[in-house]
Amino acid sequence: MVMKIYKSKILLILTGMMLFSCNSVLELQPTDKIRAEDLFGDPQGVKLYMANLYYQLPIEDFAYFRAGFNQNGGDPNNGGWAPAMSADEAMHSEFGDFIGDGDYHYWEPGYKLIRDVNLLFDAIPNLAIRDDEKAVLTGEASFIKAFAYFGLAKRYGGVSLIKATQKYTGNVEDLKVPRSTEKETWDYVMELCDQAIANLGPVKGRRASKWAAYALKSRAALHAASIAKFGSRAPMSGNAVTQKLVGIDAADAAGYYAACIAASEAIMTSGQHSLYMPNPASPAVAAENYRALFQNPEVAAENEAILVKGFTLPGNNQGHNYDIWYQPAQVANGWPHPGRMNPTLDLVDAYESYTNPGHDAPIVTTVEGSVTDYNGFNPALNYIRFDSPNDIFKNKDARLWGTAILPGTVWKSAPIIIQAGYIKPDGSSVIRTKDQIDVGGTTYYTYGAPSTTMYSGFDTYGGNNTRTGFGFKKFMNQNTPIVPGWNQSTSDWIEFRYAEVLLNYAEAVVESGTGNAANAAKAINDIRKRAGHTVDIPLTVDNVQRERRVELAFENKRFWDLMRRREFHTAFNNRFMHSLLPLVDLRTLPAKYIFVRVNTPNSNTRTFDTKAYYRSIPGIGANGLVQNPLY
Amino acid sequence: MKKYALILAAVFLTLSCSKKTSSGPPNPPEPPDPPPVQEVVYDETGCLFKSYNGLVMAGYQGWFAAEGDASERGWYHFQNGSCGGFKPGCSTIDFWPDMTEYTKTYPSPFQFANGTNAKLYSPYDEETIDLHFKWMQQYGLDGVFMQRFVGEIKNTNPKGKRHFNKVLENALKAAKKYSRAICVMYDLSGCSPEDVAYLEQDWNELQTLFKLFDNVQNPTYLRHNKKPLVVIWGVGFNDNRKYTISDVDKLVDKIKGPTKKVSVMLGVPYFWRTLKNDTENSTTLHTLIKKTDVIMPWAVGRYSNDNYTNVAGAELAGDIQWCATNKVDYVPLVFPGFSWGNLRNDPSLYNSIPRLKGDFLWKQVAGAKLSGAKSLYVAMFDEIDEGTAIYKCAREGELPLHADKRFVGIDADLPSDHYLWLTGQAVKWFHGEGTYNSTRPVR
Amino acid sequence: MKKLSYILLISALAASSCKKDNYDGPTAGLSGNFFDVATKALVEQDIIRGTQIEIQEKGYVVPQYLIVKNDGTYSNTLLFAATYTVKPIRTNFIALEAQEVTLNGQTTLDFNVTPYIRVTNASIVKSGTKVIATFKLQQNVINNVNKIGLYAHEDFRVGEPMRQAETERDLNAVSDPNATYTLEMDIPTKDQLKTGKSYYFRIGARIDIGEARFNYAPTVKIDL
Repeated sequence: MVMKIYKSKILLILTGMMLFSCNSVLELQPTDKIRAEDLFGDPQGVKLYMANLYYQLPIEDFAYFRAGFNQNGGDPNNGGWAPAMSADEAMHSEFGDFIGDGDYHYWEPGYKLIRDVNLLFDAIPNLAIRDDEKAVLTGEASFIKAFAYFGLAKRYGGVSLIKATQKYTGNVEDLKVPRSTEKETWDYVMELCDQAIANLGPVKGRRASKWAAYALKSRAALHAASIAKFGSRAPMSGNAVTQKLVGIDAADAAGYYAACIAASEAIMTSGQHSLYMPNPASPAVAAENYRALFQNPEVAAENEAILVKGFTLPGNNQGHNYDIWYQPAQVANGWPHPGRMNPTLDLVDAYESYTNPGHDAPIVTTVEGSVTDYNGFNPALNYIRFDSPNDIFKNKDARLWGTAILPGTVWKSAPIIIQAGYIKPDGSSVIRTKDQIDVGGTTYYTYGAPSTTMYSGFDTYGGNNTRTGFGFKKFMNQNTPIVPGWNQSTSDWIEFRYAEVLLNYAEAVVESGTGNAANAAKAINDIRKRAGHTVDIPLTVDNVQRERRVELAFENKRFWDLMRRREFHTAFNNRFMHSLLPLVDLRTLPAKYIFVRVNTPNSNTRTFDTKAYYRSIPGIGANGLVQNPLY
Repeated sequence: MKKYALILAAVFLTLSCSKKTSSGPPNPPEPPDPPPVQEVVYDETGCLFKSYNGLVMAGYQGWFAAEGDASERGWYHFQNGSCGGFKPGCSTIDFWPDMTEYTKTYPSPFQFANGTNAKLYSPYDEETIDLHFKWMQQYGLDGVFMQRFVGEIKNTNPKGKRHFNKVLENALKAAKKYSRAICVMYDLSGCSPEDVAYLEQDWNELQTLFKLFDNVQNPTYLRHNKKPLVVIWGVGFNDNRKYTISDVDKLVDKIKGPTKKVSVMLGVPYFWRTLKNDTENSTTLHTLIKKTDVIMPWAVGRYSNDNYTNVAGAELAGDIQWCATNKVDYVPLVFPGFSWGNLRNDPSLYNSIPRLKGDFLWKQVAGAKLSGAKSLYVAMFDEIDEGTAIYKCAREGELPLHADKRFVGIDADLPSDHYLWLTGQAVKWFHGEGTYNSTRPVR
Repeated sequence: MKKLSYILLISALAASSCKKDNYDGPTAGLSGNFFDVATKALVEQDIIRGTQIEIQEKGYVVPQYLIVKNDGTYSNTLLFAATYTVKPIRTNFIALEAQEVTLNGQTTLDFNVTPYIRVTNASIVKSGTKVIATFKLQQNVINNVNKIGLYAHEDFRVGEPMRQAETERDLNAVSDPNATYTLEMDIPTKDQLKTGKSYYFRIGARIDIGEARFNYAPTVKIDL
């Protein structure tokens, strides 16, 4: 708590400095705030200042939503909308939004962080600490600044590069810095990463290590390379394009891929990081290992976790809200709006089957076998009948079982009931309507149980419950009952983990056609082995992307994969997301389960507008910057 | 019949301009026209090339010199300063000329595998340029633009000036002999603003020295819009040139003069219309272009066989429409391929834009023709530094040794005149002879 | 005391800012048609994600964008009287130069353009459970045609960006001017189309040029 107070004081100082710098009339020395020189004069002050900088990092964690970062303050109520719902990973149980012009911005917070870190750079030479400590501090500051510019570049393209603290000398115009090209901006991110790598030590912990800096470089270089390579998939025009403020020449892809390969290899050959639980005894063990890794990243502190952001205590600006929004209704413990992250059938289809390695394994529901028929229940088709509501997922990749709550699987000791309706003995169907029927002395309920606290699917009561047929498991805390209030979840967030580095590496190798293809193939197969696979698959673009999609699901990477690879507008062109309706088939006794593939109920098609590959530049009326295309 | 087609085209053009009506007050009356100046009228009796329209012409560098020729310029443009001259392991050239037919040759510092010396030619020799023009006639190429590098013809460089004057003298003579079109093309690369202004003086000198505009003396000097044509290459590029669009604008005003003494063709960057990429973002370029008679955008290196259609399709269509609207003639450039591994001392740049046995050249010829172009500029007749030459070059397997470097040859299964022949086919298509389409013709 | 002066200052600012805002409302307008320079027909467009007209008032940095209706007409009657630079962008026709237009009252500005592709001899008929489109393509640039498609929507503004059902085929080749192209839509397989209702169908084709928009044949209404 002490730290918290201190932090808000620092914020006040900064705000104060910013306001005061505008007008000499207001140049008074405040007596109730800490002055900058006093803060940096004290090593403890510097530590606190660093905590504040880390807090401001654009980490897309449990508190990252459409309105931006750290949305876990006093009023974090956003209805539980997560970035996964802007990609093809999930639907929200209630909302149908997609990507708005005002979503996912990072402009003012980015430049505030850059300003704060520039002040630190100014202070480091004068600190009363050893030179090696100064070096580490310089490394951390570079890492933080690189991260901030990465956050800006991937949203806005080329941005104004404020390389050093700006001094106000009476002319506002002097403070205006035009946008650099997108390439110059990414190159600056690379340069800052290199500076961080050169200065940081190998020590692991909750602050940036050399490995974290390499991991950031690996991610950022892959992003830049992808924009260079795939930019032509979504041609743009306008001033920002002409001036190269957005877009990178295709010829520059090779350099960025090479940078990604080198940074990833540095981690891979260091011996300092590895996969958590790389050799599971069975898929079931693999699924549990995978789940456990995200429930508490501390288990992987010595191997997979490269940088973890802590959510240590419940409370405003500290805890988060994933558990209240996303755990199923049956365990809501009084919270009124559970069950809001609904993994899509589209994602579920992508997970491999152990019986057919190297391919998507769409859920087959009928003897006829069509996986593109979304027309709803059709009595003319021969639906495959299953004894249990999750037999249909048998042999699917362990990570599906560790990521989603499948119908009838156990969560917190309760079988989670996800059922959309039934087929009556006469062959008529009752789907997504509350109803019940007695057949052979047993009462069957459309939603699988009589009351709203006893099932977790398809009843739209309160805007809750999955409408895709899948609940959410990854990151959920299985150990403690839900506390029905704001900001009570304290599971930590892994920002960089070894599996992502392997995937970055594999993608850079396969897309560039350079580097060690055998090592890259091993990288994806090591990750698959950890997920219970026993048959290796070849290094191909499709295999790498499928592996990314399933391994990194819900880590807020898919959104950026679609962005940087310029796949969003083709992936989302009048696209419905899809659901799997589990139905009880009462035409046969004992009753069996059948499944129907449908367009997600109550949803509309989504189309990605190519302008959204870049966010609009805010405030161009005042800052005079060139706007991005089509805004 | 042809004339009718042209008139139809003109009607078409007028229609394509957007029509504007306004419910507001009418525009104020135009200011009165200045007193008319009498335009100069040339006697075009006997002139063979009264317009660039319908012609296919190439650029002619003529900048090479051989050690021992009368130019006294050593191995000029064969030697590479970055590696110490002209010797095995060091050259500017990637291609080697096919020397079979040259009557005057010079021993070079290079040898074939069998130990015999590899000979070279010098364009300073009349018989050599005679041979080149003889080829042009033989394969049908309409003619050439004689490159004149303003940086090399200044009075401070008497040997350079003498060289280019001699080459031009040889060429004018051969052009007349073989009835090939000829035209002077100034290249402003490397110029200062003063050099740009100097061009006018040189141009006036040339007119007097060679009686360029004399329809009897030089009946094949290229004319356009009833005036002799002169080309100024290199305006609007955004590669930090020392001279400006405004410098060139003034120059065009001067060499045309109030009596419109000449027609001017401008060599402009590829993205001249949209003012992006290689082009300075200044609409003064468009103002300048509208004053001139023909433009030729520089396409070398802007695309390869794989992305030609994608890059050039929209540019050609938009360019041709723009030029039609603004009544400027438009000449697209085609080139057979590109290779400058030796010039840049970088083996990865051998065949950096592959020729693909002429598929690449023909794709551009067809692209230009099908987009509605009326004439072509082929880069170049004899450019072997950058490997764009269409003239006879030695084939793979028949090349001199080059120490740790190598020369690039025409594919061994093709005759050495393959690109001359293919260009000749393009000429026929543009002359309206024969039946051609986007498939490369077979010999 | 200080607080008071601030309040005064702010009120003064507020007051003066009221007085300053005495500009006329938007009284001018710009409207017109996109005509095919050869056939004189309107050039069909898309109302969403279609061709736009960029207009930039002299002295202003930020342009405005006018949308074009599906039929190839456009109209915006609420613009300020001023001189604008006008340029259609993201077009389905060969790029036009920007031009300056002075708006003074309601102004008409037609564009005569060469569409990238003309979809000709178009026919859309219902046959059994299928809707069958046949057409020819006449392209006016050398680029490939990416894709041809038959699009259906209950709204008459149907097009590639606005459809409830589609049948598409990737061509990725130069089209054959002599070929008749056929696209079939099997209605029972389209979950968004209901029999007994009327839908609008439209044939489209897209050229492979940067941000080029689709070219279309006129819409046909069909009762399913």
